[in-house]
Amino acid sequence: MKSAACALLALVAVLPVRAETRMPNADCSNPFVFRDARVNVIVLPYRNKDVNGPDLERVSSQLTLLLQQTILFSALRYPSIGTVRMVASSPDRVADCQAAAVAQKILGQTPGARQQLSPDGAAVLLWGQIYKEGDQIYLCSYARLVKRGGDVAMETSGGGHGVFTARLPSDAMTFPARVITTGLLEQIGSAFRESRTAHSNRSLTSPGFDLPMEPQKPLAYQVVEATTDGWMHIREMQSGLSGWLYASETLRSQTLGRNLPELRFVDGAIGYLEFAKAADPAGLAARARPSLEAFVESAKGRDTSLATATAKSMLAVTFERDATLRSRGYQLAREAVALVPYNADARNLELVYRLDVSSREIYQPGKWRIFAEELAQAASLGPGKKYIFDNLDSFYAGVLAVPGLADEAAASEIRRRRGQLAVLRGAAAIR
Amino acid sequence: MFLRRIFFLLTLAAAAAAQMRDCPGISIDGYKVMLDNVSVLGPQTQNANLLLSRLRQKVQFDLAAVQLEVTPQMVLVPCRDRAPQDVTDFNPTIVDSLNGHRVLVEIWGQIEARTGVAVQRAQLNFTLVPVSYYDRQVVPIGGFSAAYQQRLRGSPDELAKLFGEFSDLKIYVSIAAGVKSLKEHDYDQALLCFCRAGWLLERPPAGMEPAVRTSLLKYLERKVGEDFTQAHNDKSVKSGLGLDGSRPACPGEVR
Repeated sequence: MKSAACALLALVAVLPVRAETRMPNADCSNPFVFRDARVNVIVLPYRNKDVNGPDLERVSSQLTLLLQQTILFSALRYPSIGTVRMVASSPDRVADCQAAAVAQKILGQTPGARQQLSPDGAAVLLWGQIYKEGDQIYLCSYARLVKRGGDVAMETSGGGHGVFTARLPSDAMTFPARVITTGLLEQIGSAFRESRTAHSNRSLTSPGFDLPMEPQKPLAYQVVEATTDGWMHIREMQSGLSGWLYASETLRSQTLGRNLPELRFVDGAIGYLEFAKAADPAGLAARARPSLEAFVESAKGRDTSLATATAKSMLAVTFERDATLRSRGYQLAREAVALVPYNADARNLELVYRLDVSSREIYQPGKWRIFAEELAQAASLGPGKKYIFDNLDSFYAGVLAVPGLADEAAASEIRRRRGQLAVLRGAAAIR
Repeated sequence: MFLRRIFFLLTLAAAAAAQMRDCPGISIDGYKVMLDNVSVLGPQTQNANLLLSRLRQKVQFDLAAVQLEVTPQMVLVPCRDRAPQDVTDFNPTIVDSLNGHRVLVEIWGQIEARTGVAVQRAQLNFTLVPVSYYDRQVVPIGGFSAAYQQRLRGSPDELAKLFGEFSDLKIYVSIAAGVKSLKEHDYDQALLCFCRAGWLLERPPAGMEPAVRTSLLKYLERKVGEDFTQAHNDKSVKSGLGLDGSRPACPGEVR
């Protein structure tokens, strides 16, 4: 035991030196994710296209480090997350840090990832733009949700009439610009520094080592375990060093999250993405709910239509499996459409949800035609979205299967429309 | 006197030609948004430069939002050596060339300062290339523009609000992409663009003239009708708009 502790201390002693050599591991050109984490959160640089300089670089690094730390402490609510902060390996490789390029690599669509997502893995990418005047920092964040192995948000039999699938309104969104001060960043940074000791066990008096918190040295952490009393067991990617970190009350109050509501969105998105494959979906839904609701509340009056509609849709999807929350979930799906009525996926989700909650009323004479028309409208707004055409085709099949619902003329009309749909479904599959 | 006037006109013409320099970046494939140089006219005072920096940042925030949230995909082409002076620089030959290169919108702007006087003008201008090419009568006299001289001087919170609010650019890009998609027989894409633009116009940005908004809403209604008609008549294209039972309008609230 003593020798193990000595070995650990020896490793800790060389940590700053090793951190230098870790740089490439958090390099955008060869992105890394924790394959066994259910959700990875990747924080990419906040940049300014017009201005560059050491001052802005320093603030950007400081900001992304604090974002990573804040997200890391989200893990207290979620079972399995990894956080990776990435930077460009050199100034001429800045383009490698574009979210689309990183996403393609970790999904295995293009080569270059040091480690890809697992076959059912998911990630949230967070990045942004930054502009500074004196001690005022203006920033605008963007997020992208990526899932390997399909991105179906909801699937239902629609009362036993087929298979109907829906996706979220968007997998990429922008958040409104915010202003924070350099003083606030310093204040939050010092709170994190006070809690940076990783202990050998869940006791503040147990031996430990300090996590490196230098903005210019990006590292990746995985949360192996978290407990409700504020402790989490973390593992650093390169060295494999691990320890117990205690989230103080100050950190749990999420100061940065209050100033940047998009962190609530990210937190809720982690819960939503874990929910899809969790053994305890109800528990995860309950944990994601406060963050998503807080984000939705903060977005009132701001131009965040797509992000808010997506947050509402995530809530709706997590409510669907709970009979007591299902009608509230459907209401949220309707509210998402009101925010982005031109969005095919928001409309499709609302329609699939409607089938789920009230299929008996829909498969009625005089009702089914209106529903079919709405599905056709959703499909026409979503060029290339084959699954919406599939939903319409399944719906028509369901109408034909219900005895006496469609008279001979209507049945003939439906068969003709299904013929048209078959062509469109084929074309969409190619597209 | 006469010779001096000719010399002056020739100088002006040469300057104008330099301002409308070609931008090699537009030769790449795909839909494009061009961002020209946003410059200061007059003395480069500290105040003017600060507003210029803020105006450029506003454009960058808006462009990023458009690129991330708006389909179809488009490429941003920076053209730092190009600086149109006013809407008349976009003569039919230039518009024809831009349209042929699938440029959707060209953004240009100025900060105008005069000695001893605060900034007179801080303006962004938008040339909606397909609209200028196919439906020039829709373009207002003086073109599409947004004035920012007051709002760029606000407090940090007001400035953050300005940076974060949705912009005219999203509307203009959607309209231009819709018109171009319709011309290229991508009827489904066109419908999405027109419907998104129509919804955004329901709550127009602060600086948009009511007459411009009304005119654009009417224009969009007409374009949606054209889109459905052409989709039904064009048997060579597989479009969801051609499905029997579809209604020639943008869907509204959920029933």
